[in-house]
Amino acid sequence: MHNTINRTKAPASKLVEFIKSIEPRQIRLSSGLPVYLIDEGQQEVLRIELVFKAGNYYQQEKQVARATNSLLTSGTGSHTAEEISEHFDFYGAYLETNNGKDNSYTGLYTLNKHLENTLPMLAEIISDPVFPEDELNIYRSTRKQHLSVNLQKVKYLARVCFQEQVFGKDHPYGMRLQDFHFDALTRAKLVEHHRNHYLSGECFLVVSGKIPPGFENLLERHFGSFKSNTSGNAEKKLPCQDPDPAPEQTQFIEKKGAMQSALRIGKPVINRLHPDYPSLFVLNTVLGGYFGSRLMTNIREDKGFTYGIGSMLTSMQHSGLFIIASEVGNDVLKASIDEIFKEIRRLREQAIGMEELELVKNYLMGSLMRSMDGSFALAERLRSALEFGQDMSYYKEYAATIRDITPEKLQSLANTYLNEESLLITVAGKAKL
Amino acid sequence: MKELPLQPQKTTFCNLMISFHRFQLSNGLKVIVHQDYTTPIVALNVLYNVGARDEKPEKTGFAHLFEHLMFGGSKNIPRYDEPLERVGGENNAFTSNDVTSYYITIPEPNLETAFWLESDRMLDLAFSKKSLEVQRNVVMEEFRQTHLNQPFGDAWLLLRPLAYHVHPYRWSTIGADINHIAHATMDDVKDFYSRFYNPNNAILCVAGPVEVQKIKDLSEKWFGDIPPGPPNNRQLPPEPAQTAARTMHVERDVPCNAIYKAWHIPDRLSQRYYTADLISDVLSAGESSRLYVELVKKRQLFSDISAYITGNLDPGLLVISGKLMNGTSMEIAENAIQEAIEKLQEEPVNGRELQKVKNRIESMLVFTEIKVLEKALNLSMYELLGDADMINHEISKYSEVDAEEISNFAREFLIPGNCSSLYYQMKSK
Repeated sequence: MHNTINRTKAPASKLVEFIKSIEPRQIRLSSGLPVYLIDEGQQEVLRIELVFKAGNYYQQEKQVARATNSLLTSGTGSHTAEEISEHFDFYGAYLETNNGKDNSYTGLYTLNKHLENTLPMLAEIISDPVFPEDELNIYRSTRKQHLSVNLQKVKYLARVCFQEQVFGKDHPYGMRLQDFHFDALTRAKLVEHHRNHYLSGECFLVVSGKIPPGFENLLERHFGSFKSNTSGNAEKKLPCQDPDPAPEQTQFIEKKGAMQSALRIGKPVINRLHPDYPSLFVLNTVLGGYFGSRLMTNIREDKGFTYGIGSMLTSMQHSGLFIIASEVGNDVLKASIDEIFKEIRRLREQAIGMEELELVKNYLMGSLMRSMDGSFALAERLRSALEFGQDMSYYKEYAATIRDITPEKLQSLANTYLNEESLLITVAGKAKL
Repeated sequence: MKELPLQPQKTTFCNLMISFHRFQLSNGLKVIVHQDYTTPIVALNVLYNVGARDEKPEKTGFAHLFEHLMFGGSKNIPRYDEPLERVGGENNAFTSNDVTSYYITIPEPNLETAFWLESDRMLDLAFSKKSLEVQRNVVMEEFRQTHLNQPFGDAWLLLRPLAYHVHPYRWSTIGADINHIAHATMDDVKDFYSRFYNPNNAILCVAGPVEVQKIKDLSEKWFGDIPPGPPNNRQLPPEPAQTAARTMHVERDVPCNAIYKAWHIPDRLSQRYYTADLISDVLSAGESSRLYVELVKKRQLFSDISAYITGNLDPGLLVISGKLMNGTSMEIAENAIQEAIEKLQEEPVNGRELQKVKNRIESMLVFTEIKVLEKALNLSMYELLGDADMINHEISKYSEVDAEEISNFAREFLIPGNCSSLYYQMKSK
């Protein structure tokens, strides 16, 4: 069967098509709490995630949102921190807590056979945390030590200083931390944040996996008294202005002895609520959103200046960011920045060739398919949509945008959103160019 | 203290079963096919039986540098990534001390493109001079980014040669010295390729919504005519048993002190490997683990502490490493770790605690069954160990370990004479 094959020619391939995913089922518990169920999968496992409008945007002071989220497991009216973690560990369950710029997340991964034991404890840590003083003390000192280690990393410095450069240091999205933020934490502040944003804030639940019979009753039993207040109780408290209209264009954070400099270049842009967002996402992919992107091809694969470079769009409820990030050798810092700006100018001045655009379209369609593969992945897509008041049809529209987008549209977007003069630069490592 | 909810007296483990088909081409390539029709994506993994342990002591970091060169174009295909991205695929690779794996996820209708790309770079590489020059730089930047320009980033570069004097695990995958990478030549590249990148030294695993016959046909069509290479008669010098405690002190510009302690443990195929893994979980898996509860929460000596095994195929290490809270002396920190070890040696682990770490393993195994990529990577690795079906018997190997074996293991292996300790200290001001 060894017919001679032509190895220089790619095998026949098909355009990647959008596969319609299963629709989540929505129910409401008797208290009104919305629950979205994605019943798919072969393994007897579940992921149960609660999303609260309780992130940095809603905190009274820096660090309160994150500390509240982290310390949900530090003790309840009925169990100590050690008992709570022993309980989840015994049943092989994983608890994932995460505090974001807008929302806070508490997720449970559990085997179905242990659900009757793991679910009540999830409900308990959310409804009845007591934030013991001694646990807060330990949290404070270990987090201060983590901060001191992070401050040694150029990547960390560039990230936080860039956000402060964009948003200003008083904005809840400008998140640069200092020791005194931890010193100022008190039990009363956590209790208050929890009361306002977990017990009487806005919340929804996403459940994914192989949903067992009787699950809804179990959920009702343990979460039936949880309220989700959608009447706007969770208003912001921190002073919050629009980003500084004329921030410094370039800032250097010197880190003595650094062998590489971490680099961030970017600006505030539209978020996923804007109709241009899916198209801008395609443009970003061309520039730095995949391995074969222009930035990787030029700065890593042609010049060897870095181990990696990429660009990304991130969406927050009240802003969006376009960011290019890399760590480069100090000696090639200036050359790297020049090449980055050259690539951005090229996007504005020349239309993308059809061959490159076809590649990116197919890559993105494959990527979309991967990102919706499996119930947990679907749950994450659904959650992101729900956070922005969208539903799964968002991804269908996104797929249509990818299919239909033209080089002209992309070039015009580059001119609208990516003017070189509007970009801010943060360098951590080397002191100046 | 309120009663915890009732627990089952005896837990029966989930029935874990990953079925697969296996065949071998006449050139020696082993192929594993796992069918999973719940996904539109196929995962394809090519595992080469070569890692950093196969390098020469004066040319370390080479297996990993070579992995980068595998993306620099092959004989008939000038660019590797582009044709794959063009059909919606994505790929990556990793190198460890033991193996090198190249993996792709791709929508099922375009699977043949993956066969085309992977077979061509197994057949022959382009050996481009430019690619070698660029990737040498890229890997040196990676070396700096991950090991030199990070607080504590060089700890493993120090700990390995302390724990191993003879076996090639004495250097890290990234290399013992950044200069070894700077000096890699095209002759080195060609030599390495002809020795290790051969069908008889590789395992191909395809997992996803695929027909077995179709994979047989595609394997034969694309890989069938690649000639086999010389057999891989790996003969590595075994590490002599350690007989006395080893220590090393370093000072660095870091904001806190850290301690690393490493004990030699049996190889991957030994039943006692599973004991070592469970011991590391008793010590540090989850926030109810012993080191976390005692040393981070109760005594507040450490800000972080963890215990883990290196997961190597040849005899590896059980490591405890932690960052000390400022104010904790190295001596107090080390004594506290020693107390935790003595407790393992002297008191049998109680039934619930042992059940807890076994339940955790079970849960982990079930969760890794969800994604085809993870299944493809795992099946390839177990096939390299001797039989892909081992994946279905892992849970029973863990469940065999009892409290007595844990104490015995701790008394036999977790002793000072078998330990290498790295004291990583802040520069005194």
